[in-house]
Amino acid sequence: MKRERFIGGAAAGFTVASLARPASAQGKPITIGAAVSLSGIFSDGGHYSLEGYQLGVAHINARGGVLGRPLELKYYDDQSAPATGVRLYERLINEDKVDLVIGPYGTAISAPAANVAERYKMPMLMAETADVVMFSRGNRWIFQGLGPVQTYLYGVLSMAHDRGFKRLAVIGGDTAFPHALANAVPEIARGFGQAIVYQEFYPGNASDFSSVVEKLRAADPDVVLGMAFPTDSLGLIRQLKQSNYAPKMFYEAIGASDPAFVKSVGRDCDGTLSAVAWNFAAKTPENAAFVRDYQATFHREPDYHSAANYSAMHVFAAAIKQAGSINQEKIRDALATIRVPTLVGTYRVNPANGIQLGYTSYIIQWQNGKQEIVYPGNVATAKPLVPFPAWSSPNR
Amino acid sequence: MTVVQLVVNGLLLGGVFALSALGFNIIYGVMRVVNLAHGDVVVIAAMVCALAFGALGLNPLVLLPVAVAGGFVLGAAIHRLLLRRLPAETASTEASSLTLTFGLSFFLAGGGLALFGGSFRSVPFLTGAFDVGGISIPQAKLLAFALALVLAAALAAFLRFTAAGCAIRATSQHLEGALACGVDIDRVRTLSYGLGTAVAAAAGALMSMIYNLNPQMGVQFTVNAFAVVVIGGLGSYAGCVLGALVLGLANAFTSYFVGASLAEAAPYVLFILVSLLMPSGLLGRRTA
Repeated sequence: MKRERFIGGAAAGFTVASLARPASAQGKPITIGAAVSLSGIFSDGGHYSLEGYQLGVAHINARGGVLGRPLELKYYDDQSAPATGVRLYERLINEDKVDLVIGPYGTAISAPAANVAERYKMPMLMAETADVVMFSRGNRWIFQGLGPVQTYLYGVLSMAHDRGFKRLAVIGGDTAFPHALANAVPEIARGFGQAIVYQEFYPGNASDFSSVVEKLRAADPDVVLGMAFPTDSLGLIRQLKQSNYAPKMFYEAIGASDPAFVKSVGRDCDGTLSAVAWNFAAKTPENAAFVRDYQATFHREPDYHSAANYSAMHVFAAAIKQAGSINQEKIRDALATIRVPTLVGTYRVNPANGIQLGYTSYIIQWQNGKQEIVYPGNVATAKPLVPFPAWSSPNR
Repeated sequence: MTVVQLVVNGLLLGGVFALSALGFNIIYGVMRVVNLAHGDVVVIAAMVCALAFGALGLNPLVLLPVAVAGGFVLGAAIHRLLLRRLPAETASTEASSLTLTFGLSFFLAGGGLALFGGSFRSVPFLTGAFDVGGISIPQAKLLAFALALVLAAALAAFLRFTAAGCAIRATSQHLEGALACGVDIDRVRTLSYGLGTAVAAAAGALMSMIYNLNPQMGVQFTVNAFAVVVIGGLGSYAGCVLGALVLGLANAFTSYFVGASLAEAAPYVLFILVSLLMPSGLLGRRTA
C-alpha cells in the first residue's frame, strides 16, 4: 500500500511541476481518480494512458481549469490485476474522496471496476473499454470513452470484402477482450458474406505459436484476424515468418497498433494491419498541438490510448461545465447527453446504456516500418498493401 | 509433411526449454538449491540484450560472452553475499535457500521493472527460417537448440575431466566425503552458482531473439525449467536435454491435435506422470 502511495505521489508531483503551471485556475482542485496498469501485462498501454491523462489535465489547467478550479489526477498502479483495480477504485472513492473516476485498461479490470462505480454512484468514463458487456447490466454510472469492439473490425472486414476475401480465421489469447472481439466477428462477417473457417484461443501467456500457425496453414483462410495483445502479437508475426506462412491479409487487433511495435519486430511488421481509435495524421489544430506537446513532454509518439484518455479529460471538463458544480448526479446526466468534439471523434453515448456512438476507428497498416492509415479511404495516408507480402518477397 | 514440421517445431522448442533449464539444473545438482530466481536472470539478460540492440546495434550473439561473464559475476556475488550466509547444513537449509531465492526473484523482477520499465522487448535478429524441402527451420531456435546441446556437452565434459568439475561432482554426491578429501566446499559452490547463473544469462541472450519479454516474466522460465529438470531427472544434464525435448514435442503435438489452450498444460501433466511413475526422472540418479 505504501509503495503505491509513494509511486502515485511522486509521479503526480512530477506532473504538476513540469506540466501544469496553472495560468488562472485557482482554488480547490477537482480530483479525478484512476487505476492505471503501470506494471504487468497491460503496462505498455497503461503508460500511454497515463501520459494522455497528464497532458489532458495540463492543457485544461493551462486554459484556466474547469469552473475556475484546476483538475488534479490521483492515480495508482493496478499491476494489471483485476482484484487490485477494484481495491484501488474503492480506495480512491472512499479514502481519497475523488470527485470523478476514469476507467482502467482492458476488459478484465474494467468489468469489476464498473461495478464499483455503480455501487458508489460515481461517474466513470471508460476510455479503455471497447468491450460492451459491462454496458448491458442496467448500468447508470459508466460511459464508454472508446469506440465499441465492432469499430475495431468493420474496417478490416470491409477491406477484405472489397477484394472478394471470404474465408476468415480468428485467433487470440484466451482472455476477456480477445473473446469480446472474436464474438463481434460473426455478425459483421455475415453482412459481408464471409465465413469463419478456423477459430482458436491460446492461453493468455502462450509464447510458442508454431502449432497454431500450422493449423492456420491447414485451414487456408484469406484473412487472419489475430486478437492479440502486445505479449502475443510479436510472437504470432514472428512465427508466421519462421513458418514461412503468409495469408492474404494479416490483422493484429491491439499489439500492432503500438507505435513502438516496429522496435521489437523490425521490418517484419510490414503488411500487418491493425485498428486505432485515433488518426495520428488528422490535420486538425488540436491534433497538431496534442502531438507536438506530447512529444515535447514524454519524448515519444502518442498512440490511441494517449489520445482517447486525453480526450476523456476534455469530456469530463465539458460535463462538469455543463453540470455547473461538482454534483455527481448532475455530471452523470451531462455525460449521458452531451456531445463533445474530441481528438478521437465526437463524444456521444446512448443515454440508455452508455455505449459510445460517436467514436470510430481507423485501420492502419505497417508499411516501410511506419504506420499508415489505409481505411477509411477518405482519410487514408497510403494505399493498402494487399496481399500481405510473402516472406521471400524482395520488397520486404 | 505436417507431422514432420511438428516434430521439427517440437524438437526446436525443446532446445529452447533445455537451454533455459541447464543453469537451473547445475545449481540444483551441486547445491540442492531450487533457484527460484533463475527465470529472472534469464529475463534480465534478455532485457539488457534488447536495450543494447536498440541503443548500440549490438546483436545478442556479440553480447553472448558479455552475458556469460556478467552472469558468472552476478551468480558468484549472490552466493558469496547471500546464500553462503545461510546457516550451514541445518535441517532447514533447503527451505531457507528456497525462501531466499524466492525473495531474490521478487527483488530481481522489481529491480528489472524499475530499471527497464514494464514494456515488452525483443530483438529482431535472426528472425528468418531455413527452408529444407518444404520444412521451415527457424534460425534463432535452431541456434538455441545447438547451443543447448553444446552447453550440455561442455558441462558434462567439464564435470568429468577437470579438477574443478570433479570437486563439484564430489560435493554434489557426498558432502562429507568431499570435505574429508580437502575440497573447498565454499569455492565449489560459488563456482557452481556462478556457472549456473552464467548459463541462465546466456539463455536470456538467445531468448531475446525468440520471445517478447518484460521483466516480470521470469517466473515462467523458472516454472518451465523446474518441470524440465524434474522430468529429465534432477542433476542430470543428458536428462535435462531429454526432458526438454519430450516437453517440446508434447507441446507441439498437443497444440496441433488437441488445442492450443491445453498445450501449456502438457508440461504439468507430464510432470505429474513422471513424479508418480519415475520419481527420479527419466535419467535421474536413483539415489536422489
